[in-house]
Amino acid sequence: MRSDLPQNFVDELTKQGRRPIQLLVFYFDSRIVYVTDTDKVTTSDEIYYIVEDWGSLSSVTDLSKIGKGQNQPTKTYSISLLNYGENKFSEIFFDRNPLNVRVDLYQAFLVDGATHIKAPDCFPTNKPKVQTDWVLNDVFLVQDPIQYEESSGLLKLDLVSLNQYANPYIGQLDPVDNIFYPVVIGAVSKVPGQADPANPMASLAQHLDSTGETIVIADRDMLVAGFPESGTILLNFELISYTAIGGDDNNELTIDSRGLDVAGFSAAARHSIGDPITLYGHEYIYTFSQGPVDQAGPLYVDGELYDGPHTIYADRNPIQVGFPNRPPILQVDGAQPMESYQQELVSDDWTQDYWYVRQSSDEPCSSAGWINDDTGGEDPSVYVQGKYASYNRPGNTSLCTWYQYSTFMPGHNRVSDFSKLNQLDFYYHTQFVNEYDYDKCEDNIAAFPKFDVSGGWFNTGWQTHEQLEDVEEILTITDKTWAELYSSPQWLVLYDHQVQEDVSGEAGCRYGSKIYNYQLTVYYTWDAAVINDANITLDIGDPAAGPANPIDTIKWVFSKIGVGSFIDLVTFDAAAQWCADKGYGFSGLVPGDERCRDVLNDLCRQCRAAIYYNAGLIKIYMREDFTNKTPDGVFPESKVRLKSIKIAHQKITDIANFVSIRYDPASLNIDFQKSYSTSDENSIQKYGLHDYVFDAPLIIDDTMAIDLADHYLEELAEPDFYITFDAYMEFFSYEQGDIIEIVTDYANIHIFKGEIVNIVRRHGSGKNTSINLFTVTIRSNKFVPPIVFKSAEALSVLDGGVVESRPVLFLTGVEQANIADHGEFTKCVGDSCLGAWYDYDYIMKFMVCGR
Amino acid sequence: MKFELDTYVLNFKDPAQYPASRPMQKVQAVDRKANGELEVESFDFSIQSRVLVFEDMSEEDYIALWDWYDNIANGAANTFKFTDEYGDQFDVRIVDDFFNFRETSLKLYSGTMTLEIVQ
Repeated sequence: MRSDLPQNFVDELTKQGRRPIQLLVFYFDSRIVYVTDTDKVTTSDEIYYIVEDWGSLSSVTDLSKIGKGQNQPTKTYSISLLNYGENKFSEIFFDRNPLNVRVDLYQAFLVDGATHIKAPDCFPTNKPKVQTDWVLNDVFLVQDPIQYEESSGLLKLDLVSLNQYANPYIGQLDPVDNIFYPVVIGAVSKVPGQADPANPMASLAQHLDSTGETIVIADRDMLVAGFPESGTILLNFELISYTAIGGDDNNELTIDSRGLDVAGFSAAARHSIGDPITLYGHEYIYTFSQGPVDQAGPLYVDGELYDGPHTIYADRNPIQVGFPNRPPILQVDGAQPMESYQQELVSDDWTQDYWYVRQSSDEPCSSAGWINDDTGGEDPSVYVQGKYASYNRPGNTSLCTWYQYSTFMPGHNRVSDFSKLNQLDFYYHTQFVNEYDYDKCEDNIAAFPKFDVSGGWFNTGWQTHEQLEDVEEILTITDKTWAELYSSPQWLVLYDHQVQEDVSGEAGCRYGSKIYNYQLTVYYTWDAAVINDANITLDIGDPAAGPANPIDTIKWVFSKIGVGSFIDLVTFDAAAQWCADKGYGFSGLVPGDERCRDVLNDLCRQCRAAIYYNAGLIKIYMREDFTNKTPDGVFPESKVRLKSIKIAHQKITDIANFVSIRYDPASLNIDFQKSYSTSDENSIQKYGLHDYVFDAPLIIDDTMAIDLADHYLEELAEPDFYITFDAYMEFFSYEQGDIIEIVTDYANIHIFKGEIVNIVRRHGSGKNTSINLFTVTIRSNKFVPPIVFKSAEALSVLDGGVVESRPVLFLTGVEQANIADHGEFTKCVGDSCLGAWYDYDYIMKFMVCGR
Repeated sequence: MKFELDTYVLNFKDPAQYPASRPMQKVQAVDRKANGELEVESFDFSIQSRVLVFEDMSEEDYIALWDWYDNIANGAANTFKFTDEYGDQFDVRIVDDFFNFRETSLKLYSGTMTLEIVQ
């Protein structure tokens, strides 16, 4: 109900002979223009007296769909203006976009004795000031197209309520991806991400060994794919700089240098067909939903929390996540996210002893006395069990002989490693620190880490050092394939490093060296890790804040449209409180390509709100059973037009007595994980099964879903009765959603109580000389309204007597109904009838059957 | 009885006859309520007219009147001053849909003309 009517106006509403004045205010770009049809309005601004017909202001609602989601009626208003004279009104329209013209409709009465009334104060334009005489009926937009008849000089305008603004999409079309990203409501987990098509990706067309100088790319023009003319690519774990893109199809790279020395990346290695290539230094972007938001994260790759390097940009629109140098990679087995490119093995991995025994003096010895490469080094059939030890024997020049007998390990230091491989192409980058200590060699033996090697091993080469010094060696195995080494399925790699100290000039050929500590860094091969960008998801929103209040979400949509200043805070705050009390909340995704008007309908349906426009404001109420509510107003017969009451009931096919709700979707509005059904057996027996399934993708809470389904069942299970009647000006302050009663003597029908669902306003004026009438439709309670006889006169006798049958109700309108031939009859004693309503002598209820 | 507009004057040799009608219409909207009472809206003006009945009007008057309707008053377009049989002057318009004075006998014409007094 409106409570903002000025007292002057309220006083006039019930008077006889009141003199109504309507006034339209057009807010054109350059000026305000008033239009009315009487010359009683004075103003210093431009005013035209040209309204030919005020038409009727109607609130268009499809009555049969009220319960099923048409929760946002449009108000339309048609007027005809006389378009003549030198300053034709149409001239003002024809060079402007009519959709943007805002029009206010005011009403006032000329109070007794007054001959004129001053025009209302229309500034500021977004919120009219409180007027002393004028009432703002509503705020409209001119609807396209406008119609002009040359023959009669009539300009016809249709004005529509503010929801005409609600055309924009709720999201924005991303010009890069051509995708409407979804909008996050509340807090949503695991919002899926899309790869940015600008991410430069390519793959090898040919194998590349560790010394190759040209890279051939498969099926792609590198320039089109986004790679620069020259730069650095990342292939598996190797950084390769290139200087040119060549080839007929721009698919060949001329390499500048291989295996750039950057921490975390490997040396030059072998690569296979199909290995992925990405652009070093480029941030690989994935896009999730509209933004910005206050909080986003954590990130999940393939369902697992991702610890690898990434940056979440929650302040962008759309929200993005960037990965440095390449999309996220996971380990193949177990699909664990890789923390980094390298994983360090610790000394605990080294478990057993290793030793080597030179079997005979026939074993070859290098010129310096070392066992050379030919001995078991590359022969995959040699199996060695060894224990590492070191020997330090300075100054001994006949080590060769010595070693012939000893079980000590000759000056080989073998550092071996287990590494599980899953692919033949393996490479391995290891570094260790070698430290010489010539003291107390034996004491240190026990302290050495011990290794076990079984399987094949190969010799990688050896280094020569001229003098005592700390040696830091880095050896890289890049040019051996596993197949060449090893045909066994056992996956062991022996990494062998020999350090020889050559005592100058002597024939002595070996010295021991100790490895005090080592650090082994294993770089995973490409096949131990995979790019996994098919299933990248992000939590968006603050889960601690909980789901969004549905009314706040509706407000946000209105502010997105740009009409946030028209929201009626009184009704919105009350509705928000209602939702908060009931624990209603929204949490989910709305597709970005929905129009705002459809989004509003969806939101209302999912929280049982109804929006309407009146008095220049956007108002809202929550749909509830009003059976026990006190009416907002009572209409006796003195306020209702003679012979205007009509009753119809809802089509039986429009009821719903089996209601199911689907909610909690796994992803954008599909894959609903939960559903709830409820039914009304009575209704099913009477009318047959009418089911109604509705989707609630923003609801994740069971209580809310159940509450909503129960409400719709209660609202829809029985056919509604719609009572339409005409009322006079006293109806002015009533609005959609109000509960009113009609009390009348007409045809013995006494009381109807219902919720206002539709109001049509027919303006009266000097031109069309019609009464200001409201044609109101109310929706009565779901059961048949009891027909009440006012007194004993309608009944012949009680207690065994026969009640004379009388036609008590004639249903007009859309549906005719048959009156059953039985009823229930009660004599009222004290307060036994109808409770708080009225005190009657008798009540008779009877069934009305639909077809 | 005469019509005047700027410099144009029409003096009737055969002025309008009795009965002289001076209808007045209140512009109101009246409707009935369900309890039997009336609901009234008043638009604060009334329409006053004069219905002039001519019988046996001479041809000279007829031609002058025809000319007045066609050219000077131009139907309802122009208001002019009407001086009635009492000498009272009003601003009026001719509100007939068409001018139809019948020649009831040789060179004698009859018809009615309705003038609405301008508010």
